[in-house]
Amino acid sequence: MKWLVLLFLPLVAWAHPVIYKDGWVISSMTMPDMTDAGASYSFSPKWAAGVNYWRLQDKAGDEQEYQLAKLNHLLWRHNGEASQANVYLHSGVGRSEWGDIKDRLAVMGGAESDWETRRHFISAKYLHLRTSDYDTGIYVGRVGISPILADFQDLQAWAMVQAWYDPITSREAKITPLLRFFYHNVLWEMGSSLKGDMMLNLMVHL
Amino acid sequence: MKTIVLMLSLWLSFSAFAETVSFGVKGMVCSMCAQGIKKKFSALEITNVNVDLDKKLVTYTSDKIVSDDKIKEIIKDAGYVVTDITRK
Repeated sequence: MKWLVLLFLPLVAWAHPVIYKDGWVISSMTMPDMTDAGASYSFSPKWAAGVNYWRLQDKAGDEQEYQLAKLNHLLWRHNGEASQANVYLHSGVGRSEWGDIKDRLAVMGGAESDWETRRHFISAKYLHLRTSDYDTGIYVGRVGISPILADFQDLQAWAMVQAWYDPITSREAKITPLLRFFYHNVLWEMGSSLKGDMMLNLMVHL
Repeated sequence: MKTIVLMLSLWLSFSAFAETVSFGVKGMVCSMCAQGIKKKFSALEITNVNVDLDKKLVTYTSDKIVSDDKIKEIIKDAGYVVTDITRK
């Protein structure tokens, strides 16, 4: 039941952290040892504010929860003839809880970059997370290819591979092949890591 | 008969004032991201916006006049850059 609830919560998956002005992003990323849930509002084409809920299961099996207020910034964008490249900054502050301590201050910051054409996609992301117990980074990289160039109103499909490393949940990087689909303003992704961990992501632009 | 004439007149009036606007959009490679363009024009009651991702071209026909500056503002707010704007 908890999985179902988390799946349909507004989570923040790994796509553009800032979208068109007045656009809302509601999205989710769910893996067995992590959930990222949130919503954000782009109040300009360069700035977005939002909230996130993170659930991390650490290497010892204990669950950590974070609630963060986030501010994202589009630092740089190149609109090419057939491609787009972006650099984003992430920041966030909030609380975390696990174990006996319910109110730890949590601070997050990071950067993300991507480049895409209609057929190719590559991105890299680094988030630094600091609490009274942790001072660590989360590393995410993706490459993808779209085998079929669909029209604007048609279903779009991508095959991607995600590499993820964070020392909180795992001692080693997770490699996850996944399929990404989007149709109009809805995106969903399904994947399974090489160790068999399922990943389900959902995102809606409003 | 009067009704037909009236409808024909209205249609001709609309045709006389409607214009087809086309413009290029640099960087428009992602259809989900480009939904913002349709959303912005819908707010102006222009709903027949056609987006061609291959040609990086946006086209619509409407009797509502939207200035070049307004089009550039809409596309900038959507995160893109406008190239040539043509009207017919």
